[in-house]
Amino acid sequence: MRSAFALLCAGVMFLHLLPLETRPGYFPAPDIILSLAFCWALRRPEFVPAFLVALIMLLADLLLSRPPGLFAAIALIAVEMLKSRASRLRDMPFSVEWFTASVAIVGVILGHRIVLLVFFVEAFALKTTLVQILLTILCYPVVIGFSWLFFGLKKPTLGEVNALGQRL
Amino acid sequence: MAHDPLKSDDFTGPLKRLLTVVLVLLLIGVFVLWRIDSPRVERFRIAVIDRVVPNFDWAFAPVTGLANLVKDFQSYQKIYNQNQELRRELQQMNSWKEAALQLEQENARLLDLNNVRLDPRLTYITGVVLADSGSPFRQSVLINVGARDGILDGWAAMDGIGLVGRISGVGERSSRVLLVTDAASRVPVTIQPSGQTGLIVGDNSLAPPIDFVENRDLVRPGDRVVTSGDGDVFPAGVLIGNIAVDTGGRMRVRLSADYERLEFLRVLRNYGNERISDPGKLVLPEVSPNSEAAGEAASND
Repeated sequence: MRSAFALLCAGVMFLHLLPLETRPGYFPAPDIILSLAFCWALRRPEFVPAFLVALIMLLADLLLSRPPGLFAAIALIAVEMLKSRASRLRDMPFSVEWFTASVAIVGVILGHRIVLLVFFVEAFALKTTLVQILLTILCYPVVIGFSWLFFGLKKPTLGEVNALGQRL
Repeated sequence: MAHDPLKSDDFTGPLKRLLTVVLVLLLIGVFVLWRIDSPRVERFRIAVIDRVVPNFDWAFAPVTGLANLVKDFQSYQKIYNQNQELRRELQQMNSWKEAALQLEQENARLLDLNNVRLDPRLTYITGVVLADSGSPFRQSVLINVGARDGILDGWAAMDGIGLVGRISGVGERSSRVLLVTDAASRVPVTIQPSGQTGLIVGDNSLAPPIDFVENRDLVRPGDRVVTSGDGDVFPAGVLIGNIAVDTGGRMRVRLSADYERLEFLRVLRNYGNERISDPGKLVLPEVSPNSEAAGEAASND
């Protein structure tokens, strides 16, 4: 399943790289890799080990022409925080989980912007960034649905055990 | 409190946290490195992209192909819509073209009416067609010039191009024109260039037959037919039409006047031809002055 996560992220990056629309000015793409990582972290934290997340985020940074490492670091911190809260959020209704994920998305993307400001690095226009945040939050349930449909990613039910016999 | 299996082991928890912190520091270090020494990191980025992306080019092709297909389909739709619009416009333009052609023809006819070179002795009166005879067996029209305009019975009427008919019945303000196509109409003609004479006999059709031609072999379809002036019926030299041979082998005249659009008719004044009565001084033998005076005295008696 970890390889499934890696492959999924690779697929998303592949879609980003396709030369489908070369004209500027259209809607910014939602950050699907970020929402994928959050969604998997909140459901099955063991499928998103820190090392893999860091590597994938770094690769995404390099491929998508962001300043390498910064977004990866912030996203990694966010994923780790979500993983630690995963067990508590398991029993909450969906809206709470969505809200938590939204806060995390906002925090990551805005934090990224702020650090770039501090370091005097040029970034996208603020309007584009806000639109991207909104789109990412909106596509979070879509990502959940997709993962559930094609990868069978569910929250662990009561009494479920993993392959080693440990209770989840 | 649920027993978290990930942290059940005493070593893995802190180790994972340590790993996380190390990774974060590493990533921040990469960022700071990029900030300080940007070209080196950019070269590294390009190297990574160079390694990763070309491996996927086999997968790019079908997806971009599909996207191009969709774009082409959209452009075909656009072209199709444009085509439909252009067709509609073309239909409108066609109807305008028809109108323009008709106007052009009418214009040419009216210009002809101004330009026809007739015998200068043949002055004319122009009249407007009021009505036709109203019966399928009588081909005649009424025009709005009559006795008060000086119309006399028997005068020829033509439109700008060719002979139309003959005045047969004059009222005070209007007169009747018997058309060449009527069954009672007989017009003596000359066929050019052979110079044969004939008679156009109207038979209620638009191409009346021509009879009494002396030598049929000298006459070919397409020859011009003009009035001959025989018998003082019509003035000579007015164009009537062209010869045509119908399916039965009979010679007919395709009338050049536009019988379907008779609007303005020109009535040609014809006060009769001069009659030559004396044989002329050239024919008689030469007479001496004495015998001339004697001749005069004899004629005076």
